[in-house]
Amino acid sequence: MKLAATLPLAYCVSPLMNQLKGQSDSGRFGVIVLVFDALSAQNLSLYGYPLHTMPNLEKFADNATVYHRHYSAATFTIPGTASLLSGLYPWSHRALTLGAGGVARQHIEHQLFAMFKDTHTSAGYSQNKYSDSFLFQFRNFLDTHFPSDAFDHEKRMLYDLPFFKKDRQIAFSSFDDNIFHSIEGLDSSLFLGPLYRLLSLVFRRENNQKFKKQYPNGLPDSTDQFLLSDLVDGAIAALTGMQVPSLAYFHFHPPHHPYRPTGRYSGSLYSIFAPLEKPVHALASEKRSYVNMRRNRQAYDEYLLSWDEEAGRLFDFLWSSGLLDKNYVIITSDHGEMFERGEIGHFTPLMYEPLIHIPLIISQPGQTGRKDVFAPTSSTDILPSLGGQILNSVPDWVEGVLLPGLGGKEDPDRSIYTIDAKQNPAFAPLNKYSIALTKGQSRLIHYKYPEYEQFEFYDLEKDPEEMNDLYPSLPALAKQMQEEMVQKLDEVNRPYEK
Amino acid sequence: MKTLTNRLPRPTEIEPVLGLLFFAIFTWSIRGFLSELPSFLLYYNLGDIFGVFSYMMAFALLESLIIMGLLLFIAFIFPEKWLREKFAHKATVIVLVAGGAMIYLQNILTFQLPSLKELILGTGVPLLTLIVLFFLLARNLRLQLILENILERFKIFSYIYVPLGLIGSFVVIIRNVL
Repeated sequence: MKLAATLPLAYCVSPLMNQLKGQSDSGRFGVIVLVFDALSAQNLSLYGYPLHTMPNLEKFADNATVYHRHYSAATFTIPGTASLLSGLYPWSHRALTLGAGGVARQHIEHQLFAMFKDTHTSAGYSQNKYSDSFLFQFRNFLDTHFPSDAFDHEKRMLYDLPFFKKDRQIAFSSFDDNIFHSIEGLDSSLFLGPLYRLLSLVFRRENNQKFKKQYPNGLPDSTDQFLLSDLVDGAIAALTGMQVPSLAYFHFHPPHHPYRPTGRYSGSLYSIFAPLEKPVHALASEKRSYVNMRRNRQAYDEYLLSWDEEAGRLFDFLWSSGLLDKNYVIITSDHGEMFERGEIGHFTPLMYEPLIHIPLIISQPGQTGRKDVFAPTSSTDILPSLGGQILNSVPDWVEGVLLPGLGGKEDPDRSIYTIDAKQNPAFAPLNKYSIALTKGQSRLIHYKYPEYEQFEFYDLEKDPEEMNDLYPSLPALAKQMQEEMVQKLDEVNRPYEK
Repeated sequence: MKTLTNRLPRPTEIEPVLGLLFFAIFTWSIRGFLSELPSFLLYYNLGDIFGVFSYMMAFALLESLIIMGLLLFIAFIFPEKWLREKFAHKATVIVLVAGGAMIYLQNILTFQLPSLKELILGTGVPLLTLIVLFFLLARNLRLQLILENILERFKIFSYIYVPLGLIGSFVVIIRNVL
């Protein structure tokens, strides 16, 4: 029954999977990047969480290198994914806002697919429609681009239509993000827009009813509904027969909101874990109650359990197929997720551990046994590390460095930045932003907005929950880090100042 | 052929309704574009912004023609007294009331289907309004004249918005075909 269910998906991708045939036998290893959108390290027992939300991921990590202090370069998908793919910080790649259609033009060739263009066959898939824009932008360097709804149950995105093949980015901004709103908001179409949305909601309700036993809270949703099992089946089908050296990039929507755990896990974590209550931040947009945040965190954890159960099949496949012997397999996220200080999710100006501390687990070809790295690392490090390891060449334009264990050395005092400038024009100096500088065991955060400007400083070793802002007493280290941050901003803003 | 055209409203009745439709649909679309423009300016260059605008104008033209087509289809298949007779007045009322209902619907649509109460409000009230206005229009000559006067003023929007829609369509084709 399961096999029959996978056949349609396998049929859909079979013409594409043959693309991952690899170049001629060059002895090079391949790369498989698996991004789990909005996965926070803070909710994984691998990183100290009291609940075992992803036991299969933990099992995978038994033969991998776990980076314990890995930080995203941004706090939401567009800039976070751009940094992962380009090895650049948001102030360089300039994909700063939710609807950004891609990186700045001067960086179109500064990304993973371009780096491996001459040596690897490549395939990319992003279930998140926003980060799919990068795969469109990089299409000249990508051999196969799986449609974002390739493994979805519902397919209603208009930008994926064949007619818009040459202009998908603008078609998405026009149709799926403007003329027809898929969620709240006013459509730019007076009559057909709301009718289309109404029809979609009717179909969605029918789908939710159909799968009610499996998903009592409704089907998972990436603006198209999908089943976790279909997602994994599709990924397995796409990777089956993959030859090396190939580069496969898969950006999965789970565990991104909405949190829709399966029937097996829904409600299973009720009242098990009570997180620390933290004061609501002045910048929190919705000022949610503790009870509300806790309920959402529970749903998120249950969704993690559900996703892990399916992802475990993918991990097993990687092992049984022998792909782990011939590929660097990277499991990471584009950003975290938070349930504290009045905020739920990640579309917030706040900058705390749950949001910026993300998992990074790398299985090197043939690796047996686990290694642990405790030095701070950045999502900008992935590209240069892969270049160094596989191509023996690190591009000179990257801002990341080689990861420890992949050619780099542990530097406990390294400066790692996380930037959120979603209100800032892409082509202007950064003047409205949240920036976190993590250095050693310290974190300096600068919130700079017309209505609110503040520095915060935390000792992450003594105060891992970031409850005690030390900035008012201005320790010497805070001042030093502030000067470093100011200098860095001056440097990155200079090209945009008139 | 004559029988077919006899079942359609006269062109002099269709033209002002088309003007109103163009006004309503294009203006709403431009409103949507302008509300997104500040965020477009953050990350798109002028060419891309013009591209988005073109898509929206092309779609607005298509939408206008589809709605007009629907009105003509209803006028064609149903008895003359329902819509074809005094088409300009009746179609105008339909467009205005339906437009209002759609704006209401857009405001209540979220992640879930609207509640029964909201749906009744969204369909019942417009239907009732339609019936009342049809009734008033049929008996009030002064109201008919006022409506005709207003409709005359909307004709100009055909000359503004249709070229915009055609240029938009041309740009969309160029961007996707060439």
